[in-house]
Amino acid sequence: MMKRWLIVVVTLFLSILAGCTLPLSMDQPEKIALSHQQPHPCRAGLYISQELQDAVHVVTTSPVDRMSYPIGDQTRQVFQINLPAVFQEVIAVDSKTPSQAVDVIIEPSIVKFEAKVPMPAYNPYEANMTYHVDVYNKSGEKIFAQTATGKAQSSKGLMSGFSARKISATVAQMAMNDAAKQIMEGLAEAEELQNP
Amino acid sequence: MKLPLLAVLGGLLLALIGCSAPPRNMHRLKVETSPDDAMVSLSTTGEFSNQSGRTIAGPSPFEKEFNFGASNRLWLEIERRGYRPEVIEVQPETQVVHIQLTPLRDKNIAQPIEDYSLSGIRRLAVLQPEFEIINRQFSGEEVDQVVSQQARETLLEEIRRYFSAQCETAVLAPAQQNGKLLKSLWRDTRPAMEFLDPIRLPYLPLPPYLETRSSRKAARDLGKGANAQALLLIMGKQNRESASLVAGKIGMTVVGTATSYAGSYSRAAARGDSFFVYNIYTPSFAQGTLLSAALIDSATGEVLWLNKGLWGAIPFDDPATLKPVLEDLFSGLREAMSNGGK
Repeated sequence: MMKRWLIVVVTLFLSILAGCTLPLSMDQPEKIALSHQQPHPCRAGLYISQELQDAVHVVTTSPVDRMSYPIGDQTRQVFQINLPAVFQEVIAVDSKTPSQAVDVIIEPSIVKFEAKVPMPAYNPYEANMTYHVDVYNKSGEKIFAQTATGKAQSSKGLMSGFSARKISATVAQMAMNDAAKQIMEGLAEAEELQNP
Repeated sequence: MKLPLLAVLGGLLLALIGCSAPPRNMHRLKVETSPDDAMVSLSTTGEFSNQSGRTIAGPSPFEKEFNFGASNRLWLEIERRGYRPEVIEVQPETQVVHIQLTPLRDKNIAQPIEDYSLSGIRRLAVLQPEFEIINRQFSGEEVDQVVSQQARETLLEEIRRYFSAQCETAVLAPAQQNGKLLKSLWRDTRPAMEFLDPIRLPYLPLPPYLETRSSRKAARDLGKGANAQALLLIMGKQNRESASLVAGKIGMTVVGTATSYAGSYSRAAARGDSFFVYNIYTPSFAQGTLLSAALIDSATGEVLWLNKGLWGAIPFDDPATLKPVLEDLFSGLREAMSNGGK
């Protein structure tokens, strides 16, 4: 009887620990509503570096708990979903090397990501995301660069203290969407990309 | 019995303070540059790319006491508009440093880069502030659209009043015909507000510009439309906590507020403080008002000036309370516009 209880307690403890170190679960990003009219009439290659793909932001909230934000994977998805609204055709490319297969290569990167998990929980959850994007033409020359900062805040902490991970993930996604929207609008407006 | 206990506790506290303070290794150092008026920053590691490792010592020339710490050495970074930045290592025996700065040339026109100056602004276009008032409660938060709009209008009015003795002002409302231009301008100004260091900006070797051609064009078009030499952008938010939230929190936390970077630096310099320690990133706050401001040259898209700060809750229905906040936020700006200085 004693042994069974010990197994239950140890399993529960290990499950809690495993739960605490798992990456935050983020919903699939939604398509951002953009105000521009027509996409650029060119074929764009989206280059996501391995460094960006693997980017994870960790916030340690207690000695046994930390929040691990999969910001690289989310960024990849945000750009994959939204870039087709800016360029007529978008394909994934695995290198920045100029190619005849695409007119421009788009390389996003994360300049800075900051997430505040409040302690005590009734203070606001906040996130700031700053994206940078470089655009190269067929000769490999950089023809456009832009940086955009997105911010988000939420105050749902006290009534849902056990949902801290969910709130943190939502606020991070709001900040990413805010920054990504500005990047997409900047790309759509760029004269440099009209005839790359 | 009480007295010895107090003495022991006091002794323990003093010992703890002593343990946490860095070792004092003070030595006098005279810093001169040619030309003078270069901003000198200080690092104990030689690393200046990370803002948190930087302390501002002030513009040259000066002679001050420096703490050389346990490593017995320090690094100085010297920056001046139009000159190559220099980093040098100094030791207590150095005593006097004289640095000859090397001029930079503009790579596009091969001309020397002009010194920083804010003169020549006769008409200022003030954009409708991006400002929201957020009502926070235990279970959530909501932007109060009506009060936010009133706050934006009060801000605009008080900003115009503040600069009225200095120059003419025009207001750029978010009208249909300006919508795209304003969006473009804001997009590039936000990262500048986030990442540019307000204290070092006038001394940066190269002038910082809005990043994209479309936002520089937007600045030009908006400036031309308003017949203004510069555009003033203000953004921020005010977190207001409900009475029940405040009541629930009493005794649990103290809301800390900081004031503007430029204002804090000016006050530190006026007091004769040897170093100004700051971090350009904004701290988290539960209740209070965050304001950031940037001045953009409408002809070139150059970021001419910026500042930001955190204040307590401002009642926007009482404009008199806004005046000291604006004086702090725009600390030194009117003077720099009058005399062309920094």
